[in-house]
Amino acid sequence: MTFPVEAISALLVPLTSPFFCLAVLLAASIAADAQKPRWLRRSVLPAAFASAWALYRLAADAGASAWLARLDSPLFPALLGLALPAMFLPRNRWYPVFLLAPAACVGLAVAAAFRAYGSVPEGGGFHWLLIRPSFLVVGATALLVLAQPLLPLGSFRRLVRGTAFLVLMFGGFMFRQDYADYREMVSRRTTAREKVLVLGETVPSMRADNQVVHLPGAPCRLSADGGYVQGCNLELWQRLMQVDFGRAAAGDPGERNVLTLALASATVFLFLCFVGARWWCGWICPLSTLGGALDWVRRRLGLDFLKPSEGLKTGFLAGGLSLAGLGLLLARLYPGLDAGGRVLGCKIPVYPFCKLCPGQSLCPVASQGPQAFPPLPGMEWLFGFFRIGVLVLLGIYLFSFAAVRRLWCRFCPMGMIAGLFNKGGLLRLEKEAGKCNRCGVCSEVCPMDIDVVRAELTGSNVSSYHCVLCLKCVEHCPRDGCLGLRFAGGRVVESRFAAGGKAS
Amino acid sequence: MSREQFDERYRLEPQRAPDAGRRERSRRNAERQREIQSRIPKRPANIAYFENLLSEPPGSGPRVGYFCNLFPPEIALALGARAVRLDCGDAALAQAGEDVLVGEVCPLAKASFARFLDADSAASRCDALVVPAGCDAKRKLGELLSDYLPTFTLNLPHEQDSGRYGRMAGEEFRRLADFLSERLGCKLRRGALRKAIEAGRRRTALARRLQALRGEKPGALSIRDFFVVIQASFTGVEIGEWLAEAERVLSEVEASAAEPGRNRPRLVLTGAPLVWPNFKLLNLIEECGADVVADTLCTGAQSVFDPVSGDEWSLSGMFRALSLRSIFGAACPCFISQGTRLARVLDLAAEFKADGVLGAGLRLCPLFDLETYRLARVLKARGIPYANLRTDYSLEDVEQLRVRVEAFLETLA
Repeated sequence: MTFPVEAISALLVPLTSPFFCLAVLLAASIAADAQKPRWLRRSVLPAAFASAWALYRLAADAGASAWLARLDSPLFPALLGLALPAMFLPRNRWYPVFLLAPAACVGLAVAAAFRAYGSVPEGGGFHWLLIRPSFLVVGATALLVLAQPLLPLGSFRRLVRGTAFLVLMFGGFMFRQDYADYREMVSRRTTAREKVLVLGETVPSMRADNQVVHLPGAPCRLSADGGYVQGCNLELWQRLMQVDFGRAAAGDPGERNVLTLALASATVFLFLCFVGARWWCGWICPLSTLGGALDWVRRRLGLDFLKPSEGLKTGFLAGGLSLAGLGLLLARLYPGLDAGGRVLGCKIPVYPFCKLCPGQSLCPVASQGPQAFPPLPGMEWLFGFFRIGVLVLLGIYLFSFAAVRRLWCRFCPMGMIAGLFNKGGLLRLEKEAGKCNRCGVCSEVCPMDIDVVRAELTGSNVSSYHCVLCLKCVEHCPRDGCLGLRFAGGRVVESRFAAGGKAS
Repeated sequence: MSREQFDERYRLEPQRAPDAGRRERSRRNAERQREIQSRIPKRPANIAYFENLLSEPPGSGPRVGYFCNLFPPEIALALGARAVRLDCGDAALAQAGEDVLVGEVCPLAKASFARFLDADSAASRCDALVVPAGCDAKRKLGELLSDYLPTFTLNLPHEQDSGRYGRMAGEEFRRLADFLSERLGCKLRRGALRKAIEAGRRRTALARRLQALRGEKPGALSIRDFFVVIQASFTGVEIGEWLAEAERVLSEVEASAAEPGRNRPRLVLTGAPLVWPNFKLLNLIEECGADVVADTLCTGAQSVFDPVSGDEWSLSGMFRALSLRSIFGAACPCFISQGTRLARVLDLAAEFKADGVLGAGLRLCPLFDLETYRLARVLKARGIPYANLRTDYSLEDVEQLRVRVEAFLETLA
């Protein structure tokens, strides 16, 4: 029996566009807004669906399709078809009927993996799980949707973080799309590390499909084939800074390629930020999951965390902003580098931003073990600035996660950008002040040390710039229905005291 | 250590005034309330268990006596002691206290103090006392009682701003825990405190389920029996034992049929604590044909409604979590803003579809009296009927109060 993988994939193709996804989400948020007139709410969903579909077809027929196709990702059908209904459907006795859909998706993913397994030649050796990206993303989402009703909020968050960590950190070698792809990855892994650092080697997700969807908070691409989504948005922004615009305008294919890649990545990044804001930081980012392990160790040891002063918090914000800015500005010098890699007599690395980021030290170690720790930059790079900088930042990262909860997340420039969407994006942290007893548990458990949730008494929107939407406040709030999260107009989750009486 | 808060130079010999007649009057007060409650049409089968706890608190082992809901009993439990709440609702003892404490002192403070006049009382058998410095009476009561037993007066911030004072309150709890562990000769362990917190959360879960069920079918469990069940858990009873008995009450209430035709007015009760056996107001409300469906009393459902929650398991983290529940989330009028209690009253009135709000004012408690100013106006602005009944522990004004309750219920019709 042959499995109709191609046929099913072809059907889902329009759903993989972020623009289609955006239209549906915006329509859903209007439809769920009780303040909008009823006729508008009733008609908006089908209208948006139809127009988004038409727009998609139009774009597919026009010449821009090649660029647009790079933005496609199986993430979007998973979001629309599985996550969105799971969030919006009422949790009554009919909800299990919907769960048949994710169950079918898991079944399909398993069947597809079996099919790929069958195509491995005799004596092919060990090759982890062979699965296409779309089946992996949809299957993982479906598993999470199935697990969600069984788990309290905190455990569900840990499951999501664990799944994302597994896929993002180890997926690059554990989940290749077929046997040939796996073998190719293995042969690539034996190439020298330095090759990975070559400019032309940026490897977006799964090489072969040529897509550029990098999640906000993606793992570092410098971990060779460690991660599934290799390529960090800020790394691509750094590439954007390096573009020689004069040569790009003259039609240089290399420069144009970098430009298209970076712009495509930035487009999807902004879209994902609009959808998820800093939720990505709280639930997906593997760097924060790694840091969370340090935090867990501290709590197991019974040690108290340090409460950062306002000055320290501002200092982290300012420090992150200026260092990231400096890194990106140094990247701008790239077109002016001479043959010795010098500009104005200083030796500047090709990736000045990455050279400072703790992700490039930690992600390879997390995915490949301690021997993958990258060599430290030599003293010749800007008079030792990078050598000292990378060590200091690594130290700050480890210390702040081990002792000050998520203080590091105030330093992270990717979070700073995503934070701009905390207000005005599709997610909204809500408070019903009438139910609040002002105890301050929300403020106490907040890893970002935010006090707005407790202090707000007149409004209902308690989203704030630094919030990573980890929902610990919702999880621990003692008052049922006092705190909640709204996504695209629908109440996704709200505080509910666990009747089992188990703390945390 | 035990006297560091109080001036050793002026320490007095404890004054005792054992009085057989007073003991007899106290016993009769409790008996009378038991007798009145025995006329409630539908009662849990094991209610006698809870009533017995109130009249005969369990005795063995180390005991920490405490006042107010602002002290977290979890700390005492974690030290292997029984936590015994000493706030007293006994009219005979209020009378006795009046003979010793001069001036305009509230009956609760007088009655509570009078427990110590008798060297054999359950209160006098405690190993240590904790008195949160909530109101003026409690602040001074600690100093009086420090002559009798090792006493710790728990400093409280006046403003319930956990961002500003949370760490301070946590430190104060550490000092309290040090005091108690020195007195009890026992080291406070993280695991024990966490276990005590989880036991407290189970009590909260149970009380919440009972409260929700009472909202649906108030006839299934009288507010007086509900208060008896809750206040029995303050007697120092082992929490697991209490939970097992309370579970039985819960399953009885769950099993009892709803009364679709029940159209008695539904009231939210707010105000000063009503402590066993001073259930005068509760008797009146139910006798006049109304149901109390929810309350904000620190001796009622509100006292155990909020769980300790958090995710830090260091001692200081747990102390802070305890302070958030006990101090910063408290609806006590001893704090600067009454917003917490106002919001709670409004929320309960909406959630339980109450017909009106009844305030219980305690004579000589200016805090609750002063709060009625805003409470009355806010409720009026929202169109919620409200009446305030001021009384003390004596039974002389029962008939006047009955007239007022009946008149209030008339306006709800």
